[in-house]
Amino acid sequence: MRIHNRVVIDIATGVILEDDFYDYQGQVAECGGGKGGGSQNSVTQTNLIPGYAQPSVVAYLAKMSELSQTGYETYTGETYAEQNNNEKDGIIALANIGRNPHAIITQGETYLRDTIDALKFGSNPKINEAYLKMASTIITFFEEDTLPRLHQEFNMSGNYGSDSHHWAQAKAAEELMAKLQDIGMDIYFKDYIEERRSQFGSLRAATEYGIQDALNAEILRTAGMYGREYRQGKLEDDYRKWRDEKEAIVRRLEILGNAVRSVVGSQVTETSPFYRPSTISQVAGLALAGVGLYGMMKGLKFGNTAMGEAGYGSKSLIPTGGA
Amino acid sequence: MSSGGGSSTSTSTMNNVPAYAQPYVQAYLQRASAITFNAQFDSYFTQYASSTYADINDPLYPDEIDGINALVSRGRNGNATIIKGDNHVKAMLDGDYLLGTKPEFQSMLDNVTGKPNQSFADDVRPELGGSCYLVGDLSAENKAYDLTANIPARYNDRTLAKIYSDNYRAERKYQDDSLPAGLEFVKQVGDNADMLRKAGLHYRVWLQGYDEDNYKKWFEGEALEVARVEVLGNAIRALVGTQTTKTEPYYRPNKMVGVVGGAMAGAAMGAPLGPYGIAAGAIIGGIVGGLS
Repeated sequence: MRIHNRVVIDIATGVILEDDFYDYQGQVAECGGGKGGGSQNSVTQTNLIPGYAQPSVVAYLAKMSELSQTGYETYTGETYAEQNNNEKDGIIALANIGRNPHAIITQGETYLRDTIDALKFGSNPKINEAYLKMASTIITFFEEDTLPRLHQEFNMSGNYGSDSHHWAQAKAAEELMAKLQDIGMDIYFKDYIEERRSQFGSLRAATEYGIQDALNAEILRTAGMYGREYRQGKLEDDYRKWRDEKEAIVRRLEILGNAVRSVVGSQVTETSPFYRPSTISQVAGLALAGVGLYGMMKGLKFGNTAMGEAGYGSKSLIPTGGA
Repeated sequence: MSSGGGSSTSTSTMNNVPAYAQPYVQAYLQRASAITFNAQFDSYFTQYASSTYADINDPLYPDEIDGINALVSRGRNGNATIIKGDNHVKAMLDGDYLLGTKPEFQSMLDNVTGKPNQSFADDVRPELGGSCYLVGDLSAENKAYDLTANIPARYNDRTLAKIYSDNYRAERKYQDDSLPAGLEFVKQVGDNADMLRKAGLHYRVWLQGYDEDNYKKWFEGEALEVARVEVLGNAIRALVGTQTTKTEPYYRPNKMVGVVGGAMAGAAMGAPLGPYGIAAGAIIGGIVGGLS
C-alpha cells in the first residue's frame, strides 16, 4: 500500500508537482486503517521505520526493558589506588625534613650566628700559649745571652754597675719590649683580623642558610599537601561511589527511557474529519448541474437567451464566438 | 475527532507512538512516577552525609597547616641569622667598625698591650740591675730598673696607634665590600613579604575549595527534590508530542460570498424563464446562498 505524506498538484494543469510517499509493506490492520471510503474521519499513518525493521525495534524495546531492571549493578572493585609504601615513606621523609632541618643547617646557622655576633673573637684557646712561648723564647735569650753579655762587657771594661751599664741594660730591655709588643700584635691583632675576615665572610652564607627554614616550611607544607591531595581523592571517590549507587535506579530507568525516546515519532498517525460540503451547497450544485444539462439539451446559452434582443446585455457572459 | 457537516470546528488527532511500543512507554512512565513519589525510594534522594573535602586543620594530618604556619612565622619574623647579617651590614655601613670601638676589638687591644706588659714586668725588669748590687753596688740603686718604668706605656701607644690605623684601613675595605652583601639582605625583606603572601594564599586556596564544596553540598541539597521530580519530568518530556490534538475552524465561505454565489446560480437557473426568471432566481439564490 502506498502512503503519501505530501502531494502538491497544479490545479490549473492537474500536474503533480511534488509527491512524498512510501510503500507500506506491513499488515493493513497495523497501518492504522488507512482511508476508508465511507468513513466520516480520514486516518493518515506515516511510519518512519520500514516494516522490515519493526521486529528489531520490538526486540530492542524488550531487551532494553529487561536491562532496565537488572543493568548497572554496583561496582565492588577498587576505583582509587592506594598509596604504596614508597610514596608514603617519601612523604613522611619530606615532612621529617621540613620539621627537623638537616644537622648541617642547624650547625651552620648556629656557627654563623655566633660568628656574626663576634663570639668567635678571642676564642682561640692556643693563642695565649702561643704568645707565651714566643715571648719566653726572646726573654730567655735576653736573660741568658743579652744580659750576661752586657755584664761581662762592662765588667771587663771596669764599668760594671756604672750608669752606662744601667743605660745599656735599659736599652736592651727596651728592645726586648719592642719585640714583645710585636709578638703581641702579631698574635692577637692578626687573630682579630682573621676573625673579622671570617665574620664578614659569613655574611655571604648567612642568606643561604637563613633561607633554609623557609624551604623547610615549604617542604613540610608540600608534604602535607601531598597527603591531603590523596585524602581528597579518596573522599571524592567515596562520594562518586555513593552517588553512583544512588543514581543507579534512575540510570536503569533511563535505559528504558532512551529506548522509548528512540521510537517516539517513528510513526505518525493522524486522524482528521473527512471534508463534507453542506447539504444546501450540494443541492445548489446539483441544481446548477441539472440546469446546465437542461440548457444544453434545449440549446440555451447564457447571454443569448430565447428572448433575443430583449436579453440582458449585448454580450454573453461566456463568449460563444457567434455574437 | 470527527466532524459533522454542520460543525463549526474540526478536531484532528496525531499519535506518534507505534502501538507495539505503547506498553513500554506506559511502563516507563509508571516507574518514573513511582521513583518520584513513592516513599520506598526516599533513600535514593538523600544528601551525602560524609565529608567531601579534606580538612587542612585535621589534627591527624598537621603537616600542611604546620608548614603554612611556619611560612607565616618566617614571613612575619624573618630568620635570626639573616637578621643578624642584616644588622651587621648596617653597622658596617654606619661606620661602627671603623674606629675600633667594638668590645671584641678592645679586648684584642688589651691582649696586644697587656700580655707584653705583663711579660716585661714579670720577666724582664726584675732581671735588670740586680746583679750590680751583688758585685758591690752598695748604694742598692737600680737605675736600669727605673729607666725601664715607662717603656711599656711608650710602646703601647706606638702599637695601639698602628693597630687603630691598620684597623681603619681594613674596615674601610670591608665597608666597601659590604655593599653587594647589603643587596642580598634587602632582597630578603621582599622574600619575607612574598612568603607571607604565599602562606596566606595557600590557606585561601584551601578555604576557597572548602567554601565551594559547601556550596555544592548546599546546592545539591536544594536540588535534590527537584532532581527527584525531574525523573518524572524526563519521562514526561520523552512523551511530549506523542499525541497531538488540533482543533481548528471548519472552512466556510463568508455570507456575502454565499449570497453572491447563490444569486449567480439562481440567475442562471432562472435565465430560461426570461428576465423575470433571472431576477427571481437571483433573489432566491442569494437568500439560499446566505443561509447555507
